[in-house]
Parts: sequence; C-alpha cells; structure tokens
Amino acid sequence: MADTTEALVEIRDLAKTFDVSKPWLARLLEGIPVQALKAVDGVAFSIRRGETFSLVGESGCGKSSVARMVVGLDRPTRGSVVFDGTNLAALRRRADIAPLRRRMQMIFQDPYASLNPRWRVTDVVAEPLDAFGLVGSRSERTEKVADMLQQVGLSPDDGRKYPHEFSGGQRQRISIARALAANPDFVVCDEPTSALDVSVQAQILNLMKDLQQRFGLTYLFISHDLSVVNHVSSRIGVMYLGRLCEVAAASDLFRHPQHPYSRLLLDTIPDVAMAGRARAPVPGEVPDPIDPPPGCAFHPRCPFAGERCLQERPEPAQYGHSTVACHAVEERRIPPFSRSNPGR
Amino acid sequence: MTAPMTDPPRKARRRLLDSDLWFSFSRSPTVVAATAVAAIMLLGALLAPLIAPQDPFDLSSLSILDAHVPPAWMIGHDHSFLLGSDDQGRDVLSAILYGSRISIGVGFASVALALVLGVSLGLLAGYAGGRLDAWIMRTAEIQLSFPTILIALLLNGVLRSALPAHMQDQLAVPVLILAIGISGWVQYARTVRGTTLVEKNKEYVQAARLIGIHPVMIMLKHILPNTMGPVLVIATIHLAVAIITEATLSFLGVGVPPTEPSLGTLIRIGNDFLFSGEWWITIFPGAALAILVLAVNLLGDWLRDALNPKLR
Amino acid sequence: MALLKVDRLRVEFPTRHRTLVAVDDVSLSIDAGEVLGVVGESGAGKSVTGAAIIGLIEPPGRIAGGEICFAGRRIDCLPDDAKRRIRGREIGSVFQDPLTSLNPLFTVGQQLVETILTHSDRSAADARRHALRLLGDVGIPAPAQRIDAYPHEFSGGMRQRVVIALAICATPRLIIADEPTTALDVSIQSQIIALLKRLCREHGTAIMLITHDMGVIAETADRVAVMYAGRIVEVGRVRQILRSPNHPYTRGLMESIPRLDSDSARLAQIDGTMPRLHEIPVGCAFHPRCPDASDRCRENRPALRMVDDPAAVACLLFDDGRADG
Repeated sequence: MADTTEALVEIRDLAKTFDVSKPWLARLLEGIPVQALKAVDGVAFSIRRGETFSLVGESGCGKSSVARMVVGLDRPTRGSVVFDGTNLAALRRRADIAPLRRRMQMIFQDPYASLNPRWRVTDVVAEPLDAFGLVGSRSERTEKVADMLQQVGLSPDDGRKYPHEFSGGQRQRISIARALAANPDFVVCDEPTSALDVSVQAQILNLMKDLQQRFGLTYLFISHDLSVVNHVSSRIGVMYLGRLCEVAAASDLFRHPQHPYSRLLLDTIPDVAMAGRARAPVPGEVPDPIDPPPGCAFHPRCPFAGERCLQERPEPAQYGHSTVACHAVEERRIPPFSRSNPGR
Repeated sequence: MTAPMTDPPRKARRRLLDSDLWFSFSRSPTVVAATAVAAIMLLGALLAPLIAPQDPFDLSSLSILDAHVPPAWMIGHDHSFLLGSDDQGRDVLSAILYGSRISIGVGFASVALALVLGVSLGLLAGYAGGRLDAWIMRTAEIQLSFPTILIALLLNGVLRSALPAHMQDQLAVPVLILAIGISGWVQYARTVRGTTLVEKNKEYVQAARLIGIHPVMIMLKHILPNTMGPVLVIATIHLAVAIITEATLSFLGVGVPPTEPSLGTLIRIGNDFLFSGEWWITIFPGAALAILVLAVNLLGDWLRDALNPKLR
Repeated sequence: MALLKVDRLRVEFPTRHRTLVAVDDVSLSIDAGEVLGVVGESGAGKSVTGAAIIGLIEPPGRIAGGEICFAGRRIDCLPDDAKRRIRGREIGSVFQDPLTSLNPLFTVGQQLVETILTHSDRSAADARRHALRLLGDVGIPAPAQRIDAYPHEFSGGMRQRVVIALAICATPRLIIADEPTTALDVSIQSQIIALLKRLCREHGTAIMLITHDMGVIAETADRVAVMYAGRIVEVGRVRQILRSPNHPYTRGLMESIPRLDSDSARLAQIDGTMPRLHEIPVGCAFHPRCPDASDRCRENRPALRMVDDPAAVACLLFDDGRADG
C-alpha cells in the first residue's frame, strides 16, 4: 500500500472478535451455539508521519474498535499494530511499553465522561506528566500545565476549577491539553466533535489543526461525519461491517468514490448545499454484525451486486491511487460517479 | 477571570451554604430535628463520664438500698435518680448514657469494618470482572439469602466458641464488631460494584489506562471517589441497622456482657421487671434506642434523596 | 391563515437563585402543509419552544407570557385533559430517541391500535387494519409480519418509523419533530427525512422540525427560524438563509459548517460559546461574540424586524439599514 518508510503506524490484518453468547446454562437449555461478533475483520492500512488518516463508517462498523486496538486499550484477536517500527503485541514488560505509550494518546468523544468530575483541571492535565515522570518539581508541573492550557486556548487560572464549571467545548479543550501534555507524536481522535455544537466544532477542528502543525502530530481521526472528515483528512478509510471498503486520498474519495458504499455515503449525507432538492434515499440498513451476509458484506444493499459478490469475499486491491475491495470495481462494472445532487 | 484570592475557609463556607445539599437540609425541619437529636445523643455518649450523675460501672458507688427507685415525677422518687434506678441501685439515666456509648461505638466500628470490606471487594469485583467478580458476587448473594441477624448470630457464636473461655468476656466487643461488620458488607459491595462497572467504561478511566496507570491506582484515585456518594448513604442507614443488630444480640444475651451494658443489655435486664411494675428500667433504654435509630434512619433517608438527582 | 401561531412566547424555569428564561419573546407561525425548521445550538431554547406548543413543559417550568394559537384557537391555557386531546389528535410529536417514545412491554401493533382507538371510534378490527396501513405508509417492509413484534426487535431507523406512524395515526395537522434523525446513521437519516417530506406532501401535514443540523434543515424545511439564547434571531426562506444569511450569528454558523464542496484549510469560527441561561447578557444576547457589535448592541435589545418578507432579523445593524433606506 503506502510507502512503508514514511509510515508511523502500520496496521496489519487487524481483527477483533467479541464473544456475545448467552451464559452457558441458557445456551444449554435453549440449544443455541456460541455466538461471536466480528467487530473488526482483517483491516490493514498505514498512517504516514504528519498526516491525518480518517476512518469513516456508520455505527457498528468497527471504526472505534480499530482505534482502541491501535492505542492498546483492547487486545486484537488477530493481526498487529506496528508503531514506528515496533510491534506493540510483542512487548510484554511494562517498562518496554511505557515509552511508546507516551508517544500515542487519545482524544475521546464525550467531553462529559472524559474528565474525572472530582479532579481539578490541573490534576487532569498533569496526569500523564505524573505517570511518565516528566516533571521534577511542583512548580515545573504547574508551569507545564499552565502552558498546555494556554496552548488549547484556556486561561492558566482555569486549572484550579473543576470540570463541571466548563462547557462541552471547553472540556474538549481540556481533554486535548491532557492528551498533548506528554508531548506525543500520534493522537487517536475518536469522534472528538460529534458531541459538540457546530460553532464549537469549528473551534475544536481549527484548534486540532493548529496543534498538529505546531507539534508535528499525526492523527488517526474516527468519525461518522463525512463533511468533517473531508475537512480534516489527508487520507480516508471507509469501513463497513468490520472491513475496509476503500482507502483513498480525501480529494480522490470525495471526487471519485469507487466503492458502491462510499458512493452511498456521499449520496446520503445531508448537505447545506442541497436546499430543497429531492433525492432518492438508499433503501436498506446495516445488517446484523453477528450474522453478516456471506461474500461481500455490502451486497444486499449494493446496486451493482452480482453472483460473485454473494459468494466470494472481495480482497482489497489497488485501482489508481485508491485501494478498493469490490468485485464490481475489479470487473469495471461501475459507471463513473456523479453526485445525484451536485451542490449549487 | 482573575478573581482576587479570598481566604479559603470563607470560600469553603460560602460553597457549603450555596450547595444544594445545604439547601435541601435547611428546608426540611424533620431532618434538622433528626440531626439535632442524633447529635445530642452522640454528644451525650461521648461525654458520658463528664455529664452522667453516676458511674454505673463503679460498684463502690452503688447501693442496693437505692434499687427500684421510680423516675423523678412519681411517688417515692429520689432526686438523684432522674429516670429512676434499676435492681442494683444504678441510675437509669447514667446507664443509658454509658450504654449508648457502647451501642454507638459498636455501631460505628462495625459500619467501618463493613464499609472497608464491602467497598474493596466491590471495587475489585467491578474492575477485575470475570471469575473473581463471579466468586465475590456469588458469595454475596448466598449471604444475602440469609437474614443479617442470623449471620451475625452465627458468626458471633462461631467466633466466641473459638476463643478460650477466659477471654470471651474480654473480647466480647471486638467479636461483636467483627460479626456485625461481616454480616453487613454485601450492600456496599453490590453498590460499589455497580458504580464501578459504570465508571470503568467512562473515558477518563480509559485515558488513565492509556498512559499505563496501575489498575490499583485507577481504582483508588479515579473510581473510589466517584462511588462515595451512595456509600455514604448506605453507611448512614447501615449505622442504624448495626445499632439495632447489636441491641438484638445483647438482648438475646450473646452480645456485650452485663458488666459493660449496652442499650440492648439494659433492655434485657429491665425486661425481667417489666411485669412487676418497674417499667422504667426497660422502657427508658428502649426509648433511647428507638429515638437514636429513628434519627439516624431519617438522616440516611434524606441523604439518599438529596444525593440522588433523579428524585429531586 | 396560519395553522399555528406563537406570539411573544416566554417560558421560565424558576430555580432557587433566579428565574431562568429559556424562551424569551418568541413569535413564529406555521402554515398548513409547511415545514418550518427551528435550528439552534444546544441550550438555544428550540426544544422548550416545541414542548411549550404541545403543552409538555415540566413544572416548575411554566409559560410566563405570550400565547399559542392552533387553528385559530388558543391552546396554551387549556385544562390538562383538553391539552392531552389536542396533543394526540391534532398535534403529533416525534422525539430524538425512539426507544423512549415506545413502551417496551407492548407490541407495536398493540400500541398503534390503542392510540387509534383513543382518537377515533373505529372498531378493534378496523383499528388493526388502519395500523397495518400506517406501518406500510411509513415504509416498514412486510407490516403484516412486523406488527406483532416488540420495539426492541426493530432497528433504530425502523423504530423511528414506528414512532412516526404513532404520531400520524390520528392524522394530525401538525407534527412537532424534535431532532428526529439525530440518533440515526446518515443513510437512515435520509430515509426518515424523505418519509417526513412525503407525509407532508401527501397529507398536507405541517411539520415543525427542531434540529441542530443545518444539513437536515436544508433538505427538508421551507422556512427556517434560527434561535440563539432563547430568542429567534432570524427567520426566512431556507434558500435565502443558507445563501445570504443576514444576522451575524447565522452567518457565523453557516460558515463554521464544514462543507463537502469546499477545501479551505480553516473553518470560519465564532469564538466563545452560547451563554448559559443564567448569564445571558443584556442588550443583544449575541453581542459578546459578534464581530460587528457596537456600544448600542450592549445596551439595546434588537426586536425581530421584517427586512424582506418573509425574511426577518433581530439585529440593530438592520434597524439602521431600514432607517437609511
């Protein structure tokens, strides 16, 4: 795929299976087998140093599971995450993991749950500093926290307050300050603005962009909102039912989406440029991930599905600059894309 | 916002007076009354050696001639015995003051024991999950299927019989505390486990895990403070239960020995004279117990409602 | 004549320190068959306005002023049971979370039939036939098989369809839809929007669509009212508001939305946040965040004025424009 020499993070054949069976007694009595949910099923991509790589998809597509495995909150069932040349799964000792942990951080979705309500903001922001032993004295700690708060557009005096004294957007700033306190290289952003109002979302997205340039950060950005993703990303991976359908540069994906699911997403997104236009909504819903369709998971909703899509799972392959997993694309059965409602 | 630094105590007082808890407290006369009663009884118990007219344990100050004196408003009274005296000439008021000392002391100690035990096991079960969780919670459920008093009675009996005879009276109080404490941990554990299950999936705990904070530190520094609200409520209500349990055991004669009577022991002693007309020996300690438990219960109920935003 | 007319509505929530004004002097109207979008950020008072219209303000909150007229009749001061009758029969409602609108213990068929029976004098068998028709109407495939299923057996999008079926079962003339698509995935959102639009067209139902999502408004509404800190700052046709918003807040809001058709590196942003209810500034509520604010804006509160019918804006800058021209 990408040139591996400049890849900071490489995800290889990542998979996560959850056991969602009923308790064994219920299984025994009702005669039902063990059930497994394949939240992520063989995802591979790489993130280049300094870029923003986004994963988009509808709820339950596995994008958040990928994020959690990348930062090490969940252990993959299969596959590996390679961070700056080191395979994370190979590290067992706490002392070996700590230096890598410092270099990767996460910003969460819910600004109301991501800060401990009983901690003062200073202690929240200083938590990584304390954990990695990055500050020697008390005054150095205070100074560093004050600096971080200023970097994210808050006042150093805010450190004395508790999280409930802040609005959602300000809390997200605190969350960002905590994530950046230990000076990481790589930040996973799990829907960082989806709980915020649009005007605040713009502030946070701009802030994240500024910080990316200032600190040379690499982002993995998780979102369901295509217009946000279009705004922030250099490259985008589209996920559906635990698999990657398409990986492409942002400009390519939005101008020439190849996978039928990418096209569906682009077609259904409500857009301010589409005032008063009628458009045909795409029928169908995301199938049950416990019992996904055979072959290509998208075939029941796909207008281009053929006999082969029902049986054979498509593997990702390179088409132009994009990587697409689709039989119809491979067989060149798909007409060129035009948005059903080109804006304006 | 650079507000001038106000001196901390004043600020803390301001915060207390502004808080919803204080508001709901000051608006409810029942709760204020209950607090006052509980505080007076607590103070009376603490200061018993200073304010009691007599030391009921000092056999030299007792005289059998003073036995069965009725309370101060009845015929045949004696002014030095406000609430009358018992069969050994002990002042009932003094006995109540000293007795509530033991009752309240045993209550607090067993609540503390149950709290520490229950909160730790609840945190552990909730955070670790899996098999450890299953073991702890199954044990809790088994214990919950028996009445608390039965568990306490059983534990008390087993512990006592394990002790050599000469130490039984000496260690009666610690044994009692152990029995009541162990019989009461389940509620704490269940509540704390529930809160832990919710909190551990919150993103601030994930953020702490992400930077490699040790699980024990996450439990203590992040989750524990967030479980303290409900624990405080349970502890208050449990205090009333513990005091009653102690009184019941002492009433049954397996609690504290008669040489150091608690309220329960006093009620038992007086019970023998109830039908011979000396009702005050048992009724006054009984009333003291009832009022104390009622006050603490009212406090606990109020605290539960005040801390639960859904009921507000 | 307007189907719904809200005039100078004021909703207050007394707390022990002060009285919070959640909706302040809001006037709006909806014609039959029209979709009025009410858009604003969280805390702008849009949901409270909707709740006031259907008479669902929870005490101690109360309507402290103004009037609400539905089909020429004042409905804000009716007794509770009369309000309840209007709520089911003439004004339907659809909320954000379909699960809370459905009773988990009854099948969707039971819930539909019961609602139909309370609002009409059909027979039970007829009500069931009507329920089946409604389920088909809102686009539930194979309604005959799904009617006896419980709400948890439906997906989020299907549940929202059931809620819409419940809302329209007495063929109301107005539906208050409060964030009906917010909890749903994008591809499902567009299905629900299409459904609402079709209902509006086929039955002539008016819809008050309350949402924070300009995209949804853009595709669905005819007119839109923009709310800020409990007040309406701008009203107008959707196209006009989207292309040439007048009020500085609307302008900032529109520019801060990331667009698919724009590649600019930075989004325009409005600094600060909407004031909480207890700290709404005097004068124009937007003045601390407004790039064009002058001293007058700090003192005088602008009234909503017509600039170009039906467009109206509450901004002192436009008072000048009128005076000069």
